[in-house]
Amino acid sequence: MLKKLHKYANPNKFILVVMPIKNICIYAAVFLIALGLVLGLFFSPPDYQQGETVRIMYIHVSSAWMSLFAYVLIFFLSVSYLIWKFPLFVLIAKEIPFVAIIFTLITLITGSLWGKPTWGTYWVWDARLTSFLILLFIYLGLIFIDKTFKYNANGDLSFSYLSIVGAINIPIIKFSVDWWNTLHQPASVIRAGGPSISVEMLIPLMIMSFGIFLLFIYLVLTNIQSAIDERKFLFLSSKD
Amino acid sequence: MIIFPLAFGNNQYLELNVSISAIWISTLFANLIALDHMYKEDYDDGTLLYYIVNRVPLVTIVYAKCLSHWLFSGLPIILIAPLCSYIFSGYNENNLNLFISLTLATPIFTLIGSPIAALMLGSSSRGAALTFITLPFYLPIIIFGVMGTNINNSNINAEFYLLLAILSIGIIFFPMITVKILKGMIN
Repeated sequence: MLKKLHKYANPNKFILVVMPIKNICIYAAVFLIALGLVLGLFFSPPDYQQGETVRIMYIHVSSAWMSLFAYVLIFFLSVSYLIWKFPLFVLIAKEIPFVAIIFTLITLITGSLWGKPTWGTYWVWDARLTSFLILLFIYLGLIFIDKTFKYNANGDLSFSYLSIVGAINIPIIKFSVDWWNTLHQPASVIRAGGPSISVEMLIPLMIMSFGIFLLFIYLVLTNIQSAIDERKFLFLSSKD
Repeated sequence: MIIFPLAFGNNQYLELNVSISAIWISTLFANLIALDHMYKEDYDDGTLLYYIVNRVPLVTIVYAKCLSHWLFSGLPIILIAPLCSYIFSGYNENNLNLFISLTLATPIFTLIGSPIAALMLGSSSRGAALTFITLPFYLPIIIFGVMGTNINNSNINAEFYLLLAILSIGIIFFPMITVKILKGMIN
């Protein structure tokens, strides 16, 4: 009994600490995304090759970074859970795929809309696109495994192991444009030798990425809060 | 496998690419269907618990399970694939490529499937969920396998080396993970 109460004490403290952060996040996210969109859509120069369609980049690239970062976050949380057996880690990690899959979908959809005017096709089966599609499937698998193990202690373990095995996809996505010949352009911001993108484009992109990052934090925190409430409710109702 | 030519209707022979895809998809399904029962029965009737309590080395059990799974779902397909390829497409120039890539890929399928089958032991719904979770991890192997099979000249090429590398890492690594997962699931 005491051990179980101890188990729920820390998530409660966690929620008390992060609630103010959540509110700050949503306002800052709305402001930054609006600012980034205005800067990106009206004030940044068109690309010399792609023309006006380059403005899709401000959404496409920032949500792609977000979905990759979300997976890295899941990976580290799962490793921490397996090492320290602290249930809050996997509680957080389990809520991330629900949000991250939305950003993955946004990336794929905007990417195919961007591909039509520039490459002439919505979809090609090359390395970057295929590995990103596999990322989408891995997120779906993580959601599935969370759903099938509802309220089962084995589910946490399965989730962590599966996310660790799936993490092999992340470096493949990052380096796929260097290892294979693909239609997708090579990395232009995070690369050895500094960014090759121009400053007028880099600033709105950074603002958008940061705004989407804050939006992601807000959505994940909201999910975690409801997950903790749900587990509290289950614990109370199982006591009767 | 026999369904594929029938499903394509009145053409006498399939295209070569289609026949290769048909063989690979059949391999995949054969693997996935058998995967569901890999540890399921032993977990349900307590044999796995018995192994752990009596300190039987689990690595041996896992290797034996993988081997038997491969013997039943991989080996028959490897043996009949050249014949099927000839029946489908009337073309048998690439049989050596098909044989080598299937020989390399089917053990990898089994090895990747074993930790995931172990992961799904405690869950209530099975079958469809297992297939869904396993498929993304099979996709790279299929991509490289089909690329290796489609090569026109009969030299041994980079895809085979890559599959061989994955197999030689996986044959050590995946049973190790499976043992860890099985111990975690039982305790």
